[in-house]
Amino acid sequence: MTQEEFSRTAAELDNAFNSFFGVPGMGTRTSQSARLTDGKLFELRALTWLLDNILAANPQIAPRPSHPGLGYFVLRVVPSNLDYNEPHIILSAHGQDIARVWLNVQVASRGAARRRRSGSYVETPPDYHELDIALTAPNVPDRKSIDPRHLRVGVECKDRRLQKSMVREILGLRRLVSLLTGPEDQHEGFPVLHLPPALQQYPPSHLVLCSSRHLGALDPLEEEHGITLVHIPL
Amino acid sequence: MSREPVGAQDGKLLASTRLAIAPRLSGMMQVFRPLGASVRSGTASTMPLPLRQASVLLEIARRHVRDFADPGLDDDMLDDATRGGNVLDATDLLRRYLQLTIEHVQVRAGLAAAKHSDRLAQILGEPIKVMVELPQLPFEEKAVVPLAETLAPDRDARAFVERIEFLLACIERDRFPSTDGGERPS
Repeated sequence: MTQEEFSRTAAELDNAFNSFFGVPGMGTRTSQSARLTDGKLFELRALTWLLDNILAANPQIAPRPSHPGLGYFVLRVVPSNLDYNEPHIILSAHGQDIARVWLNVQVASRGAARRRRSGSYVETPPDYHELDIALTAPNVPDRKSIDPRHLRVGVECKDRRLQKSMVREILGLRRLVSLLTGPEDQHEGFPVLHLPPALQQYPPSHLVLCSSRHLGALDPLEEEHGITLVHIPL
Repeated sequence: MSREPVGAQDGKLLASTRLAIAPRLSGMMQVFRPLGASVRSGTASTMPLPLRQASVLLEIARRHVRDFADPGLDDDMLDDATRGGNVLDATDLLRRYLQLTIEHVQVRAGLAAAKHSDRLAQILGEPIKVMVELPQLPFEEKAVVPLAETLAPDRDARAFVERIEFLLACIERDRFPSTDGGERPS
């Protein structure tokens, strides 16, 4: 292979990878729907991972669909307020519901949650964060974004290379729940739920950033900010 | 010596691994990037040309494929293949990387959806179909379709696999002879 042919082959090889998987600044995968469903597949993977971990640490817990017999879940493109008509998962122990697992939902910012508690107001996009998977108390208010007091575990799934913006996003949400220190902010409605070591609860909710790609040396996120980073291969 | 493969276990916290920085091809063809111990010790310029070429292709493949968990491949193998100075070792490893990529794409395209849907159904104790909401034109409308159907090998995946297989065939056929001629990927 001549040097010219080799150079062409090398460039084509790199371009083939970049155009399919998408690398910032090097082009992206052309099919938006393909990228979207790849991400949704990873959310499904993260959901089974979360449930498996909780069940391993809590053998007494029995998960069940919120709508038995319905037979489906929908992974939404745009996160929304909680809707009890939307299929989700209920965790129960000894016949009592202890938590609900929601997909693609909004978590109210602390300021918005306070304003909501103090009276009526219109919720706008900056007033909430988005989570791919949220484990909440069983009695969260319907038709609203999740109040941070009701969030027990939040999972954000990233099926791509870790970028600064992702870290910033998860840190922002982490800061939000870390501010829940006042008497009015104590967790409500949570019976004891033992979380596995990978999901230690401190304080008062826990956030997990799941990636299908290697996460790298981001130890400070876990040590200083209480965010668990998990690499879950598909 | 081989390290424990990265990502060998589900859910493993990778606290000590390096941050994978998205690579750029820019400048790579002008400046040979260090690869392996022999290169790092300053012997890159003495490498035979075919091995140097194989090393560059390996580096490209490794940058992308390292994102996929695979117990059988790690950076030490890459170093060993290059350090050994055997161009066949290097191209064989390249084939493994690229074959892994193809498998990864194919798995993503369908098998994984069925596997994880089945696991969710097992956990919940009843059959569950996982649907995904897809935006449609006009943008206000959305279609809800089974996830498994959307992940059937699509045109992108097929084109990608065909492209990689073609490049691999070209690379392997030549085994990097330093002569003119030979089929050039178009």
